[in-house]
Amino acid sequence: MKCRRHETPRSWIRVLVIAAVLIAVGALTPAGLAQAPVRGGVLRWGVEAEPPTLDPHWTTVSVTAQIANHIFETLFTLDKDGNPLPHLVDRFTVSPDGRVYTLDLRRDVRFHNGRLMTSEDVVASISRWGRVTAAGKTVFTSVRSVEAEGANRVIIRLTERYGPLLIALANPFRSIPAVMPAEIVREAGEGQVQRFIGSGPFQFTERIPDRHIRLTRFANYAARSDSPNGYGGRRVAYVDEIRIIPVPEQPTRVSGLETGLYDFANDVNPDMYPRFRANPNFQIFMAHVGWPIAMFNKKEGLFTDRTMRQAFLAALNMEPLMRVAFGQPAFYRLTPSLMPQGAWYSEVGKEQYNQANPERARTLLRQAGYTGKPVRWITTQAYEWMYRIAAGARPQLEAVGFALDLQVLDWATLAQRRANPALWDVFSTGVVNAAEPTDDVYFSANWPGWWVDERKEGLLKQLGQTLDYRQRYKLWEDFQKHWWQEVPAINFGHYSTMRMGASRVRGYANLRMPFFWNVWLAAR
Amino acid sequence: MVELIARRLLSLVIVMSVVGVIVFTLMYVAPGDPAVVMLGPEASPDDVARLRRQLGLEQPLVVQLGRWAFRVVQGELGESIFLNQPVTKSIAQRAEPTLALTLLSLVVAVGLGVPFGIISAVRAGTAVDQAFATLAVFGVSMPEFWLGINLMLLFGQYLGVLPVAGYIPLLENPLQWLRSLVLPALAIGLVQSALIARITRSAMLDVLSQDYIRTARAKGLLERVVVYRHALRNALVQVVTVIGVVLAVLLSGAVVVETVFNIPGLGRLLVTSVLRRDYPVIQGVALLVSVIYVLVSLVIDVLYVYLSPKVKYL
Repeated sequence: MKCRRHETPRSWIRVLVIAAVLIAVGALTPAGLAQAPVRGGVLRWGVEAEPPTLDPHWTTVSVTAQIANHIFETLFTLDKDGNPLPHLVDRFTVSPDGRVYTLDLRRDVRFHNGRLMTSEDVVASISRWGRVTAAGKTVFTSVRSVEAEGANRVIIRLTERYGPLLIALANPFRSIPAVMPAEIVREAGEGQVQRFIGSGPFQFTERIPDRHIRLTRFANYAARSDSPNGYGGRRVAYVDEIRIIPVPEQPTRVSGLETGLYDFANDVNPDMYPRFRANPNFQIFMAHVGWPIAMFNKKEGLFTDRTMRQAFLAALNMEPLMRVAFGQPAFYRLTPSLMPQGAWYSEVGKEQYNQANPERARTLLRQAGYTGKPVRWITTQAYEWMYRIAAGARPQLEAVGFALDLQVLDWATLAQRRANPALWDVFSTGVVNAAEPTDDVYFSANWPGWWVDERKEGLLKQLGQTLDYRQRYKLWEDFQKHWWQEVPAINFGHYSTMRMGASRVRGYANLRMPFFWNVWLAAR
Repeated sequence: MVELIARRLLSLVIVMSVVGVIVFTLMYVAPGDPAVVMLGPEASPDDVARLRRQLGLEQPLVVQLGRWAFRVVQGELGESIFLNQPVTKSIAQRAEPTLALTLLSLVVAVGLGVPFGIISAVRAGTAVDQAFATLAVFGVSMPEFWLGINLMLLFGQYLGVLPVAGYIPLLENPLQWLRSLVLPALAIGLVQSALIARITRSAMLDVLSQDYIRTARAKGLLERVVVYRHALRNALVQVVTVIGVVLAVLLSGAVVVETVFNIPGLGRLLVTSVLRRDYPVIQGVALLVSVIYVLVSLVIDVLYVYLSPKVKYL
């Protein structure tokens, strides 16, 4: 016993030492290491289509913006709540009358060609964005001048107060107001940018169309010092390379992810959700991206009559349509809101949205004097959900007395025909979330559907000129109420897209636009 | 023979002209607009109209056709609208995957089809023949994409031994190149082998019932010699014809299999270009396909001369 008593302390020490070593070793296992960001690796990202260009100003195609956000940066960006956050701008001031914005640029920002960013680059880029993009043109109706003052200051003078200016300059969703070297802008002239040089954490390295686009870490990237917040704050390129692989076939994207060919896949069919939900090898992300729309032709034909549009709306029961389109209830939401969950969400108009009232629809049709002329609804299977909604709505509409001529076209034909008001009465499309209400292109009187309406224009103008959020929100609710009374289009509800990542993808912040700075790959 | 080749090469010019004019006209009258595809769903009508003008799409058919033909004569196929690169470069980038896939598929198709066809013919009416015939019916009836998806599931997902999609260039990594092509080549090759086996069997049966085969056997020649030297050589004329057709189809791009396996070959280029309304690429690929067909049929005709002494071109 004595002997044991003498030995006990030593054996405890031994146990403690061994335990400490084991804990230390445990912390060094790959699983332990994976908790802390690690550098290196190639992140292979399966996207739904080959982009037409990587010129961020030139197209509204989403996949271009998704890729370009890694190469190019903007003066402002959006925080996690959708508010503008300085990015290439260090600090800024707004004059008391709201017409002069003075932007002091960060001095440490370097382009991928090694040159420091100056105010001349910003003026050239923002001027081109205002000339080339629909969003920029809208903003520039209120812009008097964009001028450089010295090497690091830009002054934007407005003709009138314009509330959404900073959000427009932060928009990462489409036609992004990216900053690039002035010489690149000059080279492009009226055409596309040919050299993709920005200041982002990844630089363009190679593009082989329909095979891959390679972005590699920009070694001289000047990160902000503030914490990551939404799309903004500190950006770190942990992976050596992002390899973007266009995989148009959705099942191929999924099986490629399952077998380790890709680390991340966009736009996966929600039908896959039950299969992967409980699988620890994969991560599932949902991102609310927008809503399906049936746009009425208000220039010619049957739906120039508001009562006809109201009859169409009254006949629809949204629940089965959204279910048939998006499968899983987790991926859609029945709501009249024209903006996503957040600062601009509102349920005004819920009495009109989702009435499922055939009696009322019949009464309205009688009032409109509808004679049974077929409604030409052009839709497409290029986006399966557009077709499914149209096909699902057909029996509901026919039950109240509408005659339907459903025309299924490919996307290129639909997008061409919708510009000609003589060819259609309703067309299917999807509208993606805007950064802010005035940014929605489909409200425009010029966009196919041609909603010419004085009250709408007045409300949008007031929204643009008002700076106070509460006043703006009230105006926005008035707009939404007006929308559901006038029914320029049918908004069927909100939908989310499904993205999938391998379990080794870490640090991914699932916002509406996927991005891979601050993302690292854990050991397999 | 030289005259035959010269005549065929001359006919190539006529075929290309006809194909060019037909495809160009069809594209012109077909609905759809590359400008809306490129500028995206939320582009304004003004921007779409501006791009159409820049691309020269507003000009009359005759002007567009004339310009295009003028360039083609000079050896240029123009610029891809969507890919922003010369059409010749787009085609060249897709040629390697398609050539590689064609070659491997053909190895599978001929390697299985011809022996199975010969064995079926030699053992006509036996259980072996019936088993092969059943397999061949399955093979001919099976869509390549369906077989491809099942191969993908079995070897890619369940067994995890082969990649399910993508293409690795030969010079980048020869082993991975081969691995990336095994499943698509099997999907095409197995289906085509059934066709080749059936043709080989029927051609061999025809020949094996001829008098000179009976004579050969009566002379006491080994069965092996009878089958391979006397029968097969004569049956090959038909077999080579069908192999030629398969070759031309595959060289033009295995549209569905390339799509399912995400292989950036000519077939996928053609389909995506149609969806994008990338007219110059569609026209370029159509011309290339017509050249491939004419050249393959020329090669087959030349082979006939070597295979059959009865065939002579004057």
